[in-house]
Amino acid sequence: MNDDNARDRELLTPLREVHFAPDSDDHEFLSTVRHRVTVRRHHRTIRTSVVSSLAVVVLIVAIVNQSNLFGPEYGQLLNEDNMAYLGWTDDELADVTTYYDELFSFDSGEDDLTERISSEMSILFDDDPIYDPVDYLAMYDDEVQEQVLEQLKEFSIFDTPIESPSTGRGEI
Amino acid sequence: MAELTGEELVELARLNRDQALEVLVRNYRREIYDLCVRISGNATEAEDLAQETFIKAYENLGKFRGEASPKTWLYRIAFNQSVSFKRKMKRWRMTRVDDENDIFETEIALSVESSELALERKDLAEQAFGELKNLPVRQRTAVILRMVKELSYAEIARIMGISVGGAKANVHQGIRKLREALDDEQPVIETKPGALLL
Repeated sequence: MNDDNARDRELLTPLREVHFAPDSDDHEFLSTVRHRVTVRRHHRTIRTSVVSSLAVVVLIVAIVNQSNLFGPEYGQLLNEDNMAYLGWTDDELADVTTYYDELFSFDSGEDDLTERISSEMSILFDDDPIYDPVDYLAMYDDEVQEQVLEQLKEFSIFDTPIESPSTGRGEI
Repeated sequence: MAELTGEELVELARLNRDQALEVLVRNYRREIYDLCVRISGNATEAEDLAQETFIKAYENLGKFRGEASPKTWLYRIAFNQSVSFKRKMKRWRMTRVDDENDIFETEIALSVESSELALERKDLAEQAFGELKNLPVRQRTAVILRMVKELSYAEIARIMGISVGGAKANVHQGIRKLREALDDEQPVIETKPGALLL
């Protein structure tokens, strides 16, 4: 602390003189943490699945509409027409819509892969009007790209084979 | 209570993650809560941030290599959680319901009131906390880590994920703003040379 001004240290002494203690005891706190770890693990499993599904929707709808259509209401893409085009049933649409709502209401950190994806997908809610979904997908790890593309292949709506988009647009 | 070393935590986590979590909570929960209150200015939010910190720690115990002390590691997680929380609130344009009650002053005032400080020092403490909340979260955190937790600039840099120069800049800018604000508020007190102003 040698290079701090002595006057500043004195000035801020009151900050050091007050301490804050939690209300709950350690046992109660630990129980809450353990419970939330369990719940978080369950949500993460759902979220991984939902994020992949949403990425597929983004990609396919963008391709179908020749890209550049993304505005602030990403949720509107989850409509019956698009789902019908993808061959999804009403029940699947209801599930995805529910998961979609849950996805963006989860309270969690941002360190892991799915969190990063959901965080970046939230960009779609912001004011940037144009978003290229192919570039968007290419931002993710190869593993995620492959996961999305595997699902895309199942829809069989493309005339040409689907390759990894990691090198950018034009390979789909 | 003896400080847990990074190596000890690595070994403990390898043997039993649940027990490692328990030890972390027992040893550092109060420190983390205190830091979270100071950063957030809100007891409810601080409790939640503290929980998030230990959840993250538990989930990442396997990645902890023992290069930093467990306390520094937890501070870093707590700081990231605090920044993330603020960003999330901003992103979703959310405000706390209890913001209207100016909870920061209430929390601080109660804590100051219950502390065993002389009356004039309680006033100073309330003023200092009141001005601290006006700093941007990075400057606020840097000032807290330096002036309250008395950490080195290298430790602050590691916790905040910035350079040592960046840590110094945040501390100095924060203190300068606090000094200006507090100097404006405090009455001039005649003192003998060398005497403490407070």
